[in-house]
Amino acid sequence: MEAEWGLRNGVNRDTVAPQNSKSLGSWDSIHVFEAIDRARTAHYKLTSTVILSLSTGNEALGEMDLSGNMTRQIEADLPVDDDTSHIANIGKLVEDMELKMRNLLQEVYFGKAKDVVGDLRSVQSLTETEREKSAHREMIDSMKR
Amino acid sequence: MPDLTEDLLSSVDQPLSIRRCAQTGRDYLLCDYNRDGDSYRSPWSGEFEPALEQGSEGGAEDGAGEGAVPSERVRKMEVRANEAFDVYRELYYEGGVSSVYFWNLDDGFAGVVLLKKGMFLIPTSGVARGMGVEEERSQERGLGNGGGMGIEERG
Repeated sequence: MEAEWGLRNGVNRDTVAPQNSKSLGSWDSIHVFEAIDRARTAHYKLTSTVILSLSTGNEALGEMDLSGNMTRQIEADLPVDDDTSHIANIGKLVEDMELKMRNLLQEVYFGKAKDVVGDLRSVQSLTETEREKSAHREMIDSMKR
Repeated sequence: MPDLTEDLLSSVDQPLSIRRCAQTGRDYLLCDYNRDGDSYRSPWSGEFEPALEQGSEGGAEDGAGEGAVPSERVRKMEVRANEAFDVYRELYYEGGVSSVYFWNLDDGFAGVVLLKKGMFLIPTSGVARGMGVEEERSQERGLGNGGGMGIEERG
């Protein structure tokens, strides 16, 4: 099991041409499996990899590139009546795996990356944020009295 | 170090390439499991494209690797799996390309299910204008801290 994630986030106005705001992305999933025949079941071993790549950028925000890959493995023994059962079994294994990996990517990886980037960068200026914060504090203080 | 190329290619995960099947006109995905030299086997026709030279086909190989074609029984399952995952792809991905390749093992069979979907280039003007409109609206309502998002993009 492995997961590698890289986040590149640079503000470089020189490299982004003015009228060149762009959003690109791709999802590739690769599920390699083995089905070993046993008496009335088959032993399946599935190794799945998802390669995900997202990028966006414009003059105001700079460039952002988020991409990586993730691999997961499972094994299962499932009943087999005839060759049609194999298709159903493999379909179920792959479907469950894709759902699991998609959720992991969205909740864990994207969620975490969003937290980090959100903490590091802000759209409004720091002084503006500070001003709002102090106004907020004043308001609460006056209500306490 | 050319002798390491094969090892590197098999250990590094790369995005999948797409090719169009000459016989059926349908797209399929390329990977090591349907490759023989510079040819790839289409899951829709079951044929290698471009066709393998007679010499290299030598012997009815049915394992994974050079010029491998699955046995009749396994190919039958491969066809059904391709049909099934084509429906799966349509339902979950609403687009994209899918391919399934099977091969024989001594005590069973093995295979790979490939799915790919890409989003490419959203028109520049559309994005810029969209942001500009958002900016104007928030100012009208007096919320006014759009933070300069996309202002320079307007016009």
